[in-house]
Amino acid sequence: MIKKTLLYFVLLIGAVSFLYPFIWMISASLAPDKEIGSLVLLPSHITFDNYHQLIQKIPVWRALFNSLFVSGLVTLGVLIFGSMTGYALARLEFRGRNLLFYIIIFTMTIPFQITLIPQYIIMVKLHWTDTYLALVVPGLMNAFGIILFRQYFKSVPQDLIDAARLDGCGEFGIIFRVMWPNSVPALVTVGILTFMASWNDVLWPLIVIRDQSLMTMPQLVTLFVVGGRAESQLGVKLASAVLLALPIIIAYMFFQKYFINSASSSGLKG
Amino acid sequence: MAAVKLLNVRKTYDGKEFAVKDISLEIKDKEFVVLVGPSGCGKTTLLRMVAGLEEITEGEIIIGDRVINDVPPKSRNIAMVFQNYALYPHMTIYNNMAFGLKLRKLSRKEIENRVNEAADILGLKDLLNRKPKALSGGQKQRVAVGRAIVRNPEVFLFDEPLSNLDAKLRMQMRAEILKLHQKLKITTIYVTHDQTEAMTMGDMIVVINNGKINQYDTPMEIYKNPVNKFVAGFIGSPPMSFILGKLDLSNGNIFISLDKAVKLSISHLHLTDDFDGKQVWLGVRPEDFRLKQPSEKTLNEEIEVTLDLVEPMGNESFFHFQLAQSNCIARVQTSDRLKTGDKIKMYLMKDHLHLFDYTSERKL
Ligand SMILES: Nc1ncnc2c1ncn2[C@@H]1O[C@H](COP(=O)(O)OP(=O)(O)O)[C@@H](O)[C@H]1O
Ligand SMILES: [Mg+2]
Repeated sequence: MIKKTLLYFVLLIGAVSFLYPFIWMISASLAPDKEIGSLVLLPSHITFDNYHQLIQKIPVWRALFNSLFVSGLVTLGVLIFGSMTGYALARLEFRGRNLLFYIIIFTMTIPFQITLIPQYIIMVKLHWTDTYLALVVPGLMNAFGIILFRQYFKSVPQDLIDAARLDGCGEFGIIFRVMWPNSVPALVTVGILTFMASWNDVLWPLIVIRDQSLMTMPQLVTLFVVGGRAESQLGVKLASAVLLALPIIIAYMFFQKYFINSASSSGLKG
Repeated sequence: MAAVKLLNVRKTYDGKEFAVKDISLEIKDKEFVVLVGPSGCGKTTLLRMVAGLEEITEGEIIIGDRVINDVPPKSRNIAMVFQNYALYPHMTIYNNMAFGLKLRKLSRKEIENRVNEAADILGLKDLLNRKPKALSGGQKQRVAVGRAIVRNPEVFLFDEPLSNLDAKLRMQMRAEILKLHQKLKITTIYVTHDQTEAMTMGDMIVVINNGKINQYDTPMEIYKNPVNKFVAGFIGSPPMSFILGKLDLSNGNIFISLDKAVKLSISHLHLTDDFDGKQVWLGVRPEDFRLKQPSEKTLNEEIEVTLDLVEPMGNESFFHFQLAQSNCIARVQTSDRLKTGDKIKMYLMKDHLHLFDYTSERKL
């Protein structure tokens, strides 16, 4: 009993210390300017002033759309191409399969900073800078997704694949009509992580995008907050941070429920 | 409807060892053929080559009059039932059966007709909207069979379809599959490691050992005239007993001595003189050991044994005993008198004895 109480106490402290800054950010963004300085959670009255100002200063909606568009395409790409590659590595026999797999693992160990410049040069040569292509194409594939799909597909019973093959499925049919519906946990995991990573990426957009109408949300917000245009108005900065975080939180809340559901009901065996 | 022909088929996975070694086999149209053999003998490999799921290293497989070595599985017009059912977990029973038809672009009406007909035959009508998870093992296997028959294939392939079911269900499904075959008359290749299934189901049985066909014949012929010691020991339950003996051929008489005490006259067999003094295996089916009744007069030599174990099966019992240092099993009418430890007198039905060469283990 005491043990349990203690456990809940620790969990509570953990939750509060994680949540407090976050909740404060939201409530402060809704507070009148002069109340922001205090650490109180409830403002005297709620105002959307900060948000109005933010929308007037920078093209927030456009950036939100850009972010959704880019991250959505990137996620879709990683799911499609990652599962295709993962399937080939897990279930098809061909020469050099293991070598290819090791190379893919190896790319994971290379720090992003090393490939940053060469990748930028490629974008310039292709004349893709200041286009959506520069934001989307380099993200369409990633090693993590491939490896996770490969691992997951290895556990699918061979008979299931054979049955599909006899039923008339080609390899694409097997991937998208048999493997996908039976790999929802893998799809959700790769999907969430890819979407979040793509959504939160600031460095790459900063490098390849100058045109404000093509900027993603984090890029725009970063430039806005640190670039001086917020004119030290803390409330407006906080409002932009809230808008930046909100989609991810909503997506996470939605998928988390789905994630738990699917993890407990995949039932491939038998 | 189609005949299936295998010509010198060989298969290696690693380029060194052959899982299937030079198998030639002709299966007639509408026939139910059972491939039987111990685990690891290459049955599944052979079946998967017919299905197109495994590359054929050497040789040819012909379905109808078409060499299908390079034909992809979906164009071979075959259907296969797997040991683990292999139902699509995410689809309803209806869709499990309809999937292959949808991929073949049949009309919705046609698909519905075929699935409903199969569901009728197999008693799946009430389960069509369920997912496989909500079905029992027997029901799943029935769906797997249904998925195969809706396709209306030329050849049915079964890979140990009943081995995940309990004994009673297995017997029931055995009968159902046979009835289905009588109704549909589709050429069937059925793989099992269970000799009972082979004996009861096959029009023809192919006994495979170590990647090779040992015997291909009707069940009765294989039971009565096994070509070697392996087939003799594999087919039949309880199995044939093998006793090491020595031949003694002298002026037209043939004797086999099992040990010092037992010497049998087997002059009705035809053996050339060079077998004199050779070691051979004597094979005896359980029913060819006879219990000698006290009053009975017989020309057969008596043997006296001690019962190591009596297994009553109801109307008959299995007697386990040692004869010339070999474990033997006899199948006799149950009698309450006899129990473990008793000494009994038996004789052998000499017309039914089997002799196998000691080294080659081939029938003499
Ligand atoms: N995919 C495979 N890769 C390598 N060896 C295999 C493979 N499948 C089967 N084998 C080998 O081939 C032999 C025959 O196997 P199999 O056809 O499954 O036998 P059975 O079905 O009669 O039990 C076995 O020795 C097995 O280890
Ligand atoms: Mg097998």
